[in-house]
Amino acid sequence: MTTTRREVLKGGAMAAGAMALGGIPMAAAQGKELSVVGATFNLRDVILQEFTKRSGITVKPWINPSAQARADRLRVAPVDNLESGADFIKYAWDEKLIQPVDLARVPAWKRAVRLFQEGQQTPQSPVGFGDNPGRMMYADKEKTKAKYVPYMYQFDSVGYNPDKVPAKDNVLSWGELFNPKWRGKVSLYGIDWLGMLDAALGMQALGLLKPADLTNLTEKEVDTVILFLKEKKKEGHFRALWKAFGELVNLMASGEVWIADAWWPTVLEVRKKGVPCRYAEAVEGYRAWAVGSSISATTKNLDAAYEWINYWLEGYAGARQAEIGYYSPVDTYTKYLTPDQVRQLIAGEGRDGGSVERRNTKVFVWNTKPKNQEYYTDKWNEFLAS
Amino acid sequence: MSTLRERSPAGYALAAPAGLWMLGALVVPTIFIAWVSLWAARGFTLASPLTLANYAKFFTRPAYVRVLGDTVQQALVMMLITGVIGYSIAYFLVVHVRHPGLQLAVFLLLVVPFWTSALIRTIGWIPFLGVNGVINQVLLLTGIVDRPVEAFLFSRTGITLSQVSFYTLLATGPVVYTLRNIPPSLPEAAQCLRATPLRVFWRIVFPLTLPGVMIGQILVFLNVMADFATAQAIGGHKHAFLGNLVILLYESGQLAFAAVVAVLLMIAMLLGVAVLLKVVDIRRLGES
Amino acid sequence: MIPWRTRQRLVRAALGTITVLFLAYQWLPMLTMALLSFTDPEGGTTFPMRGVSLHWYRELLRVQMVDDFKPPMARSLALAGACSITTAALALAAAQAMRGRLRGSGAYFYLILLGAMAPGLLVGFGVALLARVFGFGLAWYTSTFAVHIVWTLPFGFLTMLAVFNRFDRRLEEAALTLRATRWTAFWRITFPLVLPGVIGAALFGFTLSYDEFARSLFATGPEQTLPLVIYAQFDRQLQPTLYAIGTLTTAVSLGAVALFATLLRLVRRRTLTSDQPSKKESQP
Repeated sequence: MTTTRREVLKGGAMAAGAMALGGIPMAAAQGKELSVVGATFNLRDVILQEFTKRSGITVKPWINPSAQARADRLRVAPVDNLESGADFIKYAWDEKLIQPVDLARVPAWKRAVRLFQEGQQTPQSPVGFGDNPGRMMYADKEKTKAKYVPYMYQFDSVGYNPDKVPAKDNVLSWGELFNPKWRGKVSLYGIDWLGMLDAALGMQALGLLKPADLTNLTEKEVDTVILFLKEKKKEGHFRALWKAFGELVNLMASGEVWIADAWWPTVLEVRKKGVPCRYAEAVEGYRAWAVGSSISATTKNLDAAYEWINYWLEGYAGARQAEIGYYSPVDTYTKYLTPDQVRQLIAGEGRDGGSVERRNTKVFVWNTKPKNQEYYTDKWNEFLAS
Repeated sequence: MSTLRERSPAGYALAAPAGLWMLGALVVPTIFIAWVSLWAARGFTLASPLTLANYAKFFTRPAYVRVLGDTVQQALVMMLITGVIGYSIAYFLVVHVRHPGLQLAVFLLLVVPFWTSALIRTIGWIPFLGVNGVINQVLLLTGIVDRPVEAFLFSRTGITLSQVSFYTLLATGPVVYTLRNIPPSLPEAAQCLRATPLRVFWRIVFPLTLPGVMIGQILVFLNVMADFATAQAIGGHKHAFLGNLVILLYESGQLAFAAVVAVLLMIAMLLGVAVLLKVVDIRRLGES
Repeated sequence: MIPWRTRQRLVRAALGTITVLFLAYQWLPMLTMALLSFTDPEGGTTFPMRGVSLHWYRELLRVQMVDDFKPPMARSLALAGACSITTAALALAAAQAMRGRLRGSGAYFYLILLGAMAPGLLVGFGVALLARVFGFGLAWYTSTFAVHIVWTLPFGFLTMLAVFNRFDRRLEEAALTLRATRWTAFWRITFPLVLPGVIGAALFGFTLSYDEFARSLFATGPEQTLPLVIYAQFDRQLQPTLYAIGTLTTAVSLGAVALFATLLRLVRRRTLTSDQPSKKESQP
């Protein structure tokens, strides 16, 4: 029969093709493999190559822009490490997809800045609320085990084009995002709970909202925020919402957007394209988030998984991330940076927001998934439909 | 007689591979999703009790019903625009372009962009429509406007503008096919009988091309209903059609509700096709 | 009263203008993209453009561990090739079966067509969840392949149906009365005559699969196809490498379609019937 013959031929061809194509990555098929799930801003080529060079382990990355899809990946495929932010680590932990990390096997963690050990940089600085890694990352009271090991973190604030948006001493309030003067030139984070968190920050700054817990708004508070957002949408206040880092860079670099909630790497990239961009020190404080590595509950490569985590804290990866604007909780990366870079990136010379130390003391809130997220999503969809 | 005896086992054997493939890779997953849409549990548990509450949730929230309406409305608008433009182009190509080589060349010019990934083309539309983009530069240079028009991008208008580019070919192709199959003797005969060109078109040519028009409309309808990438990228994430809802709901962990939207999307698409098929039965495609 | 000839000229001019305007509308973004693909290393995917260089084409060629587009491109091509052959084969078989007026052919028709009517997200989603239940892995050459065929088959099927409907049965009957077996009659008479349809179905299979995005979104495993990798780039810097891909693809397609047109012309000349009117048939 025509079909059967063709199917057989096709099957054979497919098998041969699959074998040829499936193993394209650099290192030979020999040796260990590590299955890592992450995003394009951490699983970067230069970092993966160096890891393979040092350890002989080939990394097989699974990259997806959606944090939910990344966490769910652990359900359907054998994964060794899940790289994620505190928000979805909480989710993966509750769903028992990851296992506790024994911090005794991660000696570099002892050198983590106080922000991550205690949740506040100095005893006087505010304890950022929400999913503060310093508070929630540990799996036990003695802090010997962790749900995940953060290796990069970032402070979100207001990014703006200084030619269009004036800011005294580079200080702006979160409320500036909703200043009607910038109508049509504003962008906001397009993920429901994060966008609403930023909106709530702004509204609180403008005195329009007085929530008890900014990261867990009550239903009435959510309604207020959404009503406000809907009004702004009707006025054409938002040029576009951004969901991915690359989108925001393009929005600001093309001049479509003058002010947005952004983080430092965005500012760097936009400046590289010749468009002036600065990153304000927020009056109320930064919104921070920390991405790190966790170990899958079903991993068969436990040793390799620890090697991966230790590699990230060893310094090389931290230095490469610092070059594009992220910070490492552990100070091991200075040895991989030039003295100039150390001055700029860490001591904050010529950098908006100043040194890392300074930033650490000004964290106001951490990215947090609210408890009643379903309600958030439904109301956000209302906002989109309006 | 033909190479296939009627009702022979060989016939069933030939039909089996395609049929089984569709059953396994389409029908079974669809039924599964329909089952998931009835789950009362939040997460992924096969033992979940079943309920219709998820569907009730959709229809009792005006926002969601509105998204359904918006999606259908967008599809109808696109059908109209692509239908008119598509027919014009098809008619021009078949009737007015005499040289067959030129005909082929123009047709190829229409088709080749389709071979470039739709995602890349979508991304390419952003600089085209933006405030510094080509359209605005042209408008500024010719003095039609004195400030760049913002409404082209990150708006419903922008979505429509780019979708016209993507989907008009779907409306053009089938019409070209049916126009070609009209034997020239028919319009000639009508003209001999002193019919005006308009009457020739309206009473003879257009009805004969109706199957092609309908296929085109169905194709455009299906594509626009299911489109989410254009709405996302060119709409600036500010709008949601049914396709976007599925992804949004999945990403916020509402699995069953995402399945509900997926099922409703499918039902809407099937209903639409059924309605369109009532106008013309496309199974008779090609029969004169 | 405007004379008929002038009216015809006016109509022609109007329709011609629409066609030309539309072509410009469709091609200007493509040309914009081609232009931007030559931007210098500091440029982005939007205007203003800064400098000219071949940097992004070189980036495309560079082998990388993570952002490399070449393996996904190769996978997409292989997948499209397989879909092309499979679609043509399955569509041919199914259309031939329909000629036999089997019981339930009405329902069968709709079953096949359902593939084009089911939203991609739903199909991919369903396959992914089923995979979770039954514990089988998702991969580009298994689950993605399966859902791609679901999408391409209806189009191939319709093409074959259309071609078979115009097919003159008497040719087969003549062969059969001359004592050819059904098998021989099929291969020596029917198949060459419906070959344009088969090629059309194969073309549908290739094009639709290469660009398929919605179904693959959920149904693909760790090794992704090209559209999915492009989508993943949204998370990072959208780089003009994408435009380089787009421009290259367009250039290649122009060449490939020209090749196809030539092939079609050759096939037409070799068909048996010489009394068919010389209407050219090209499939979208």
